[in-house]
Amino acid sequence: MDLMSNLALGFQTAMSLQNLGLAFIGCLVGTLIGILPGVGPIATITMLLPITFGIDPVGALIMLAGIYYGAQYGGSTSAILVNIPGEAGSVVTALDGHAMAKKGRAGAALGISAIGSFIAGCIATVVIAALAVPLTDLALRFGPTDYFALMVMGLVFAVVLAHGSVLKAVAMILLGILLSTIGSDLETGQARMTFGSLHLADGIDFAVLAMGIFGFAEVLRNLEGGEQRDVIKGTMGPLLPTRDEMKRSIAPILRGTGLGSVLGMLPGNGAVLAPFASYTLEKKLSKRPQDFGKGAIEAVAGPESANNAGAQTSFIPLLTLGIPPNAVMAIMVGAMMIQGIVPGPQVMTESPTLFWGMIASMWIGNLMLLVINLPMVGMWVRLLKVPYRLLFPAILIFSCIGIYSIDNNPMDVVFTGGFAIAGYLLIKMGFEPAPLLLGFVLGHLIEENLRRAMLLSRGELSTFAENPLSLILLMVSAGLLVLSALPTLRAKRDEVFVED
Amino acid sequence: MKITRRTLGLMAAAMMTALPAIAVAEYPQRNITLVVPFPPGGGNDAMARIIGDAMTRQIGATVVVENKAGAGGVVGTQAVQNAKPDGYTLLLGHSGTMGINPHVYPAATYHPTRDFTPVGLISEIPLALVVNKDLPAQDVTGLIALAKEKPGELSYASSGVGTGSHMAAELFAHDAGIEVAHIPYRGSGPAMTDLLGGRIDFLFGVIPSSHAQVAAGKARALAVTGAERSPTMPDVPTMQEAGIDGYEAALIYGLLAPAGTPDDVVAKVNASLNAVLADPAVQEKLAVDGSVPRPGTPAEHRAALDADLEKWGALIRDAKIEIH
Repeated sequence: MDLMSNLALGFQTAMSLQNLGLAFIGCLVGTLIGILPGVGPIATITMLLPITFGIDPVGALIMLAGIYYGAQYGGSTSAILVNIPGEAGSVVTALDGHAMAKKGRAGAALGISAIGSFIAGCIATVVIAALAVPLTDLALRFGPTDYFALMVMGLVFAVVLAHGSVLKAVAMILLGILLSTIGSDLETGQARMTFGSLHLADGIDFAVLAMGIFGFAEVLRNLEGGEQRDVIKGTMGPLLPTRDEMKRSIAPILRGTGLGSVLGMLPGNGAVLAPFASYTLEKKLSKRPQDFGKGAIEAVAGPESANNAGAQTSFIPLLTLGIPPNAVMAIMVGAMMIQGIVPGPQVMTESPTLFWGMIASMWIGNLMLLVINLPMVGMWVRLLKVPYRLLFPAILIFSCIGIYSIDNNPMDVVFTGGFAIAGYLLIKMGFEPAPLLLGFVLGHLIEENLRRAMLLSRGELSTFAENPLSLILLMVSAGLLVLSALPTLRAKRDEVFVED
Repeated sequence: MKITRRTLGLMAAAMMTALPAIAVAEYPQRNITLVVPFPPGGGNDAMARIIGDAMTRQIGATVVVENKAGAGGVVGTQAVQNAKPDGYTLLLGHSGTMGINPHVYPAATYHPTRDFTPVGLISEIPLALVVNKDLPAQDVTGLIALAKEKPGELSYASSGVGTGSHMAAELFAHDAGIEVAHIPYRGSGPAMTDLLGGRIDFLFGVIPSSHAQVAAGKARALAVTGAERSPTMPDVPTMQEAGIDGYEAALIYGLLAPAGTPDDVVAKVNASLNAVLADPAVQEKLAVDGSVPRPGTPAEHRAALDADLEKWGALIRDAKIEIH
């Protein structure tokens, strides 16, 4: 059958000694650079892009894909160990992953995210191989109205499930949306809230905000407490996840993979929602929702799998249409162009070795990541035993290098410092940074898609109702809001983003 | 080889003639930074890396591509404007940053030929007018008729306000006398997505990636914006052939240095650039983004920059394109 012969061609390409080596180097280097606090996949690929120029196109793309997965995995590691998410996807991982690390289960958190990512990667690869082409046409029907409705639902999840401090969570989400509107207006080119500064003309970089209010603020908060960490208090338990933890994780991994695979293939960057959606879902389904935010392994397993599955299926629009759904894929397009390949639907038929070789290499890359990362877990955990007086300056210095390397812009480092102070004050007053980051990430997409939908409909609000998909999504969102307003249900409502 | 009086004499003569060359050959002594005022991954970045990589082998110094993105290219462009004019900092400039930005961005206070030294044109990128495959219009005349029949109802996508794809479409609307709605996107990818999804009627995109969609039957190309037809899609007429008199919209790309860069350094970089552009391997790689190489002198580049600035300024004034 066709699929089998295509996959055979793919594995034949990807299994050549050279391509195996390139995939391995990509995964390894990606992991190592990505582990720098705040350095997510985009920054890593950008830094390492030039080393792929001398290689043939298939090898170069296989290596870049390896760097991408590796950096993603490395980013999770720094989120878990030092609470610094390098990109939107690892914000959720930082919540319970870092809480687990504080409880001495860093190894289990790292282990389950490696295992979860591997399972998610394997399944998503099969999805891409079997369904990429038919799903592409389906995903193209997803327009601005649908994206808007989807992102609204993402925000409503956060509002509905935030408990105890609903008002504070809403305030943080709105602040996040507000921060996302800084910069040039897409429709008019007008500079908004930039105070005349060119540094703000493109808005605030996610890593700058996340590193400031998450990582740096965490460092400040730890400084006031003195050295009291469970990690160094002897009993650490088994390094890797226990049998019980594995059992609790398997269903979240599978659900997260499903969510991530579906959201990832949307050409409008639906993948950002995947880990948040998985977290919300797992907490809803959990028998122990009170543990979420305090180091629940399900809350690491599900979102990590969703994130990885989404990362993988976001290759679909790139491979089948030549259209990059997000910034990482845009860099892949650049890499293809440098290699002399015009991205487009013809890649599949004109360069089958490239298309199928890349798909096969995804599976190989995921396997390699597992092999590379599981033995390293012990090493990372030992890193936590380094005394604060050495660990904190090191984190701060590496973070500053990471931030600077994003855009070669020293002002970014200054801004991170500012956000660190703001983040510290927010934590002190009981506001959580996670809803703010969710608002920030979704804010761009909500605004752009709302205004685009309005432009396309020439200002008719009914466009949201005429479109069945957006109507359903908006009705679900409204329903969730109404449910949350009912006092009887309020008692049962869970908290998603409360950290401590 | 046996050294005779004769060969010694020849060697001396050779060294004498080589002397002036040695004086110029002092440049480059160290790495040359080529600033791309956009993030990595776009067509600009790819072009800079292809040229930079080839020039590294040609000029005898490493050309390092540095991405200084921000404010539609203004940040990186101004960084080069203020750099030391010694030839070690070069800029990739194009119609967007040099010809359009000074008219639309208040922050873009620079002038392309007064604040920079033109080094040489790299290439021209003509665009293709692409329509949704279900649109009834079969040619440019049909598209204009359709737009006149339903004024304001057709939508076109651009990769952002003030980009080449926006200006090419505005020039078309202005010359054809039609009223169409502008829907800006963040980059050409999402713009193409909505064209394929049927929410957008037409757009102006670079030829190779547009051709990829056309060849796959997902869109139709009605015209190309260059003065000549494109070898990529030879059956597609130019805008002028399709009936829009005097319409030409190709984006020009070139290397610039800060104002006051010494002539001998400029000449050396220009020679290296032209040598690189003559290399078929480089031409082939540039063609992926639809680039048509335009090797030439610094003076030709200067004239092209001035003409470009004037052309887009006139359109923005005449068509009353409001950006702020």
